[in-house]
Amino acid sequence: MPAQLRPYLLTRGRTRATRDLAPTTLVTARPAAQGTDLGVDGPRIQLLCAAPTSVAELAGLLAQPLPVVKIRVDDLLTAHALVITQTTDVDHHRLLEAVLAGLRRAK
Amino acid sequence: MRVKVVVAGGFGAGKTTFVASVSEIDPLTTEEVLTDPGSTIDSLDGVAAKTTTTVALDFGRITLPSPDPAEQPVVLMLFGTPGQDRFRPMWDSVADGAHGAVVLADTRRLADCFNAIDYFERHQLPFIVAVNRFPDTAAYHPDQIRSALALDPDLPLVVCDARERASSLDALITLVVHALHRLPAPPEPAGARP
Repeated sequence: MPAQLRPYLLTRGRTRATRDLAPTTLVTARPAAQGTDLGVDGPRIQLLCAAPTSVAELAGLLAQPLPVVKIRVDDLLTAHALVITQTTDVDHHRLLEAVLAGLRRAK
Repeated sequence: MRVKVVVAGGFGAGKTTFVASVSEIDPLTTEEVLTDPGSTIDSLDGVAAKTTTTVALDFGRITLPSPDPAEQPVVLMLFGTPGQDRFRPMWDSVADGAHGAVVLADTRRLADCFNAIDYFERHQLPFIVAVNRFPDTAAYHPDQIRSALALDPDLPLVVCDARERASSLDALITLVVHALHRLPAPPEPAGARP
């Protein structure tokens, strides 16, 4: 992404996203309809989101502040170029047990 | 499946180092912009009221594959966040949906982690205190640190070296064990036999 572009150009002057996106919200790219204006950084964001990627990780990879990336993700969700990856209701006990086992194996 | 863990602590307590030592990706830094959090706290005499403040946020992740290939791997997301009181608006967003927190403490500036401890206690988020042993610090007995921080006797306190992956993983393991203890007992699976 051209680092010299100012965040307000990327967001076209907006300061707020219309959706409530958390830093942990996972988004995944999907093919947008032909001719959709994805913005200058849209194709790169789509590439980075080939697999479910959190908004925080995306912000780090793009080297842009979180609020800026939230607005861009919001735009691309509206353009159907990204989808939010829904996480199913989890059994927290099972989830933490899985993390514990995974961490012990990682050591 | 994803699990979110917050790494909090004062400036220079080792949050970025901790995230970097366990993360499978190079830790990423992004910025969150807070609106009007510091206007009553930061003294800016002679300067127009401050309206925004920028906070650096570290991000790292660990993918934990399940031994059962049919199961999805669990992704552990780590968020490093500054512990100072004036960043409190940030914490609500960072702590939202978190499964637990590691409060990193530096014995030379123990007071820096009071706010984080206070916050997680009040929001009932399971947390542990990890004392990051810096090479040039006195070796306090964990009980001394526990008493200095007025910690609940049940609250785990570990001494770690945030530069060492195994040591940071141990701290995370302690946190997850603690978080599991804090969960209500799982419901009996339907049709389970004694």
